[in-house]
Amino acid sequence: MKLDFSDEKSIYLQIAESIEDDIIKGVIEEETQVPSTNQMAVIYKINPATAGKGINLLVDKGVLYKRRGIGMFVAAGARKKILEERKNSFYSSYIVTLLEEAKKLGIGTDEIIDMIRKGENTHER
Amino acid sequence: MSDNILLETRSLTKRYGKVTALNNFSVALESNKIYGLLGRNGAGKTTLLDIITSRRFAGAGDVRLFGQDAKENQKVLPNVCYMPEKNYFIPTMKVSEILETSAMFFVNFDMEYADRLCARFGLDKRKKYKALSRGYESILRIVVGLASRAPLTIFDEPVLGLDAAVRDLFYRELLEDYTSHPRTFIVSTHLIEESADVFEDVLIINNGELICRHHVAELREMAFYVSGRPSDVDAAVNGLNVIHSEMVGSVKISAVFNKINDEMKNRLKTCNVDISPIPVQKLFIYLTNSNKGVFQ
Repeated sequence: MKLDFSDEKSIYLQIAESIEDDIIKGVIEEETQVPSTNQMAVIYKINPATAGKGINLLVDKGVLYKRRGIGMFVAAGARKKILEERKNSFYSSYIVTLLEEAKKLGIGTDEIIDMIRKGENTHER
Repeated sequence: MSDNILLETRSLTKRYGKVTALNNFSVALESNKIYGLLGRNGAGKTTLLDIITSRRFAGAGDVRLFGQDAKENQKVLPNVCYMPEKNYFIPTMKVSEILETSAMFFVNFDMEYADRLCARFGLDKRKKYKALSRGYESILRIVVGLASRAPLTIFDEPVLGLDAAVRDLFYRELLEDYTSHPRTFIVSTHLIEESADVFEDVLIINNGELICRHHVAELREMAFYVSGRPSDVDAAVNGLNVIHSEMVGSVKISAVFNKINDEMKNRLKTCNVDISPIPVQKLFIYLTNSNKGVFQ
């Protein structure tokens, strides 16, 4: 069963996510400025109202904050906060779907663990 | 909210002989938003825009702009820049002359900005209008439309004859200038997929009537495919607004257009079906093929 209500739909979620990704990867550091809603609108070619929704989402989460008259900044501790949240959703979005698919294909738990080990070895950085 | 209304049409009706181009058309648009106006050929888009701007007159109903009756109102019309699809400029005039004339008519016209746009789009100001290719005709309308900085700017099919790169440039210029000089835009277009996210609200006209008006994000969230075994799909979409159904082999695919709450989401999760998004262009085709069961 596949449930996909939001894939291409919620552009603002994608924007929020891509900012978060940049924060996790360290591309955008804490206490640095992020592009304004208007700049985002032009960069992503979307309506500013939509871009604003994405930014507000991150403000509500405490990932971004507004410095009056200057712009949006990444909050201190934002990276840790996002990592924790992503770890929590890792189980539901990856492990659960992995197990569902494995069950469909008749792959046992031991076999999955072997595959993970194998993947780890070939993907070593 | 009501003082934020910039344009209101009230029960507009227009007939050409036996054909009803607009049927009791009422809509209110707010200030400082970008509206997308969508409809198939002959749906009534151009008639509506022509009536709003007093190029044509309605058989019944009226238009209010900036809180005044708009019909041939000389206080109102210089604040409206309408760039129709065709036959707007005098063929023997040069581009530079067209820009100068526009500057006389539109109070907020910014010539420096017009020059910048000409350079950016590669429009030669010395050329005569009749010597412009289809694409450059469109570009000139874009330049005048943007540089006029009118509180209400209307583009009818602005990207006609433009290649993908120039269309992209137009959307960016529109957004950039809109963010620095907020005003209201109405943009009619057939190229829905690439422009949908530029709009804040989308209006869909079909057979002279407004059949749908939504925020773009909302529109995307309301539209989804449900697919699976026919009996499962039928059970899943029971009570929802189904706008299209088809069979692919033994799999049934139904397109749903319905506001969805968490309870409905949970119910769908218990049905043995797949859910996937509907591209806006597809949604538009389903909605305008038959307007049965469409809610506003």
